[in-house]
Amino acid sequence: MEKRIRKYSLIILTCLLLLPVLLRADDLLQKAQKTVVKKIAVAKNMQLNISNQYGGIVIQRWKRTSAMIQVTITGRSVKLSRANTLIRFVTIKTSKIPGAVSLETVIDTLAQHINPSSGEQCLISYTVFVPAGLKLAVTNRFGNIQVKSFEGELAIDEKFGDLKIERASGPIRIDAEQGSADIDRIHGGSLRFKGFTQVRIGELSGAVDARFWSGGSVDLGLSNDLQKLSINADNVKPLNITNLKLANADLKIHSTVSKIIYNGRIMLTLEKTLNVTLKKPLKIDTVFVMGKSDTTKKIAEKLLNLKKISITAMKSVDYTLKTGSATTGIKIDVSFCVVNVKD
Amino acid sequence: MENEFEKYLHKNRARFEEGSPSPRVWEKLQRNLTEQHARRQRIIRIRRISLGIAAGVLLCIGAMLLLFKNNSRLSRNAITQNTMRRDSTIESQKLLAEKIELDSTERIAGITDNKTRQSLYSYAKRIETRQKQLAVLQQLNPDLYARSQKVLMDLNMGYNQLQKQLPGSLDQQKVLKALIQNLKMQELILNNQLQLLEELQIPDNASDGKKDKKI
Repeated sequence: MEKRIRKYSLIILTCLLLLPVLLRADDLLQKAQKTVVKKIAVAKNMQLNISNQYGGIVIQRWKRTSAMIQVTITGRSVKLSRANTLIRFVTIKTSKIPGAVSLETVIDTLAQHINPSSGEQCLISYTVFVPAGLKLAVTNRFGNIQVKSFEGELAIDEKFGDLKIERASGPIRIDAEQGSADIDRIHGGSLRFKGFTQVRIGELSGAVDARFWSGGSVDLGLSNDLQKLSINADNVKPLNITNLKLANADLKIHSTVSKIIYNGRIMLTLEKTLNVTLKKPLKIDTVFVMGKSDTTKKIAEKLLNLKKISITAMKSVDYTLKTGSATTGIKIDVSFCVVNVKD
Repeated sequence: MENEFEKYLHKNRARFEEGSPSPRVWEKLQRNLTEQHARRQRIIRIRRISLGIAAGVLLCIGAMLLLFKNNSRLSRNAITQNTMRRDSTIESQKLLAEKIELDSTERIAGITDNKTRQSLYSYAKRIETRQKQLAVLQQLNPDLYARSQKVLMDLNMGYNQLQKQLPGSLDQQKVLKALIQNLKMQELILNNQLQLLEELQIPDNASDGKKDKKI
């Protein structure tokens, strides 16, 4: 009997000692890494295309005339052999056509069978060094894109990852979905953001066409170099536009089921009752009244009490905001949005 | 056997055959005959008029009966149509609710990781509740409701694509994270829409407060 108790105690003790080790199995994953370096001679007007998945892309301008792409493939698994197998599933395919070079991450999806519960993973990271004046098109899925510095035409197609642009000159075309974006400055271009959590653009200049679809907050700062701005926003809350005075622009807003706030005051269209009170019809078609400026409060769990909804609240409403001797035009088309404009 | 009248006729026969009634008698007879004819004509005219009136009344009654019959058929049709419309509205609402619930179940299909399943299910349920709240807009303003659903349908399509990508994915954790993010976004959008609708609604003073719809 005593022997049996001793035996079981030993087993329990061993299990207890092994428990922390088992719980921290993630930290014991073996890592295998492979680096691929591609050097590309850049001709005039050449375009470089990069397409990646499951990893980040960092873009940086350098003073050389050629481009260099460094790809790091990292495989993690409990067994080192398995980690090495994982990185072998990934290849970097290079293709060239006149005037363009393309680099693409190719994953052998038939060969690889990753067990998510085992903690296995594979990460493919690009660091791109480019000269000035290059046309660059970057596509990424399930990874972030960071533009540290870039000079030239830039096209970004990003899905399921965040975007950060620190310094970029030249027109930019962005097509981003499900992620956030933090951009210091944009000088002309077309922007498409869908299903984003947050978009911040510090300074907008040149001619910009922007579309924000279904997302969280959008912060846009205008600059005195803004030539034209067209915004289409659907289900964005809030859409904050600042520095209107600096941009010296006339603002035209077409809104459907949206709340428009100018300098903390809710903008209303002139209704019949207001015309009666004011006696004289106003020249501009907007009037400001004090209202709630807090647009961030959450709906919580309370039930919506939809009374007979007035048709005026549901139909489209147009607002015009003249700022005097404006030479720039800002056109905003919004539905299901809260728009916050500040001087 | 002759009676007295016949005896009188035999006795005065000659007088009867020779003589004729006086012009006064003829005149009286003539007048009586004319008057009788005129009376008969008048009676015939009155009868014709009466018959005409009777026919007219009968026609009117017939027409009214026809109209009444048609009206009742129309109102019956209207009632049937209204009932059908109400039934179809109830049916469509039922279908919508079923679809929403089905979406919640479908959203976690094929996801083996328990923690993620729980997260996704929790978001899916919250979306379900919000969608049911918003469904009242479908009756009030179908166009606006359709517009409100556009972005959500788009996000749903993205969700379905992610779900398909999951089994062959090199990093499933990233895909699962994107799935959760997608549902989070859908919930945020629904919250924003409901809040905006609540803030922008202008209560109609003329409408009876009892007609308010609680959802």
